[in-house]
Amino acid sequence: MPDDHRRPVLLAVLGLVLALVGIVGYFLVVFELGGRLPGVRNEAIPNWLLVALGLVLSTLAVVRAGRRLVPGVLLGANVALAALFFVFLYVFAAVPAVAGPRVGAAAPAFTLVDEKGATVRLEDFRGAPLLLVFYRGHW
Amino acid sequence: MADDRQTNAELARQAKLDYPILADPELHAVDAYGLRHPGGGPDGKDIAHSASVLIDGAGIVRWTMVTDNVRVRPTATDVLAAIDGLRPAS
Repeated sequence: MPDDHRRPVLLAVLGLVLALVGIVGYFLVVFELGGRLPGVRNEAIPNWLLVALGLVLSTLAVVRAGRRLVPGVLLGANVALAALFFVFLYVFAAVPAVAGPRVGAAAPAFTLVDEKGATVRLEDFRGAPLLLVFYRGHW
Repeated sequence: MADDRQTNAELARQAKLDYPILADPELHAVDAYGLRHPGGGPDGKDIAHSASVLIDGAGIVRWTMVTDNVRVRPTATDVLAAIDGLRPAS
């Protein structure tokens, strides 16, 4: 392939690779490192930066390539991946909002069993702050 | 958690947790705290919303984080800042 054909294709491929690194990197963080990189899990900022950079490069490639097909197809794939990533982050993972317990009100009492079989009551923790974490256990 | 005690015991052992995990399979505490997610679990089972609740020594709710997205959880920084915001117990 002559140079002026190759360069836009390579640029578009680079753009797609960057977006893939951003997106696959996000899932690696969530499933392998979620506890250690909570900021990334929550906001995905470095990942979106990579996806955005990838889109910019792929768009530049299309601009340089004129009417050639391959960079356009690669840009299309890049846009589709970015859209899927968006849907996953903000649509698939969304749940209905609830207010939860009211700040300033007395915490509701509970009596539950811990993993060793011992009974645990809210009043057992009086006198010191308590962090109560509710886990979904499911996406 | 909406899982049973045996599941929680296995999790505590595998993750070497140094805090208790409480089983709430009937969602009594979940309902008391207004955190039921109807149909949110596998096979449409009701489960809890992810939430963190900071309760002071007098039993008052002082901070909560209930998100509308399953990916988003409080960071250690968020929790420590909330704890720093507590007034000394009287």
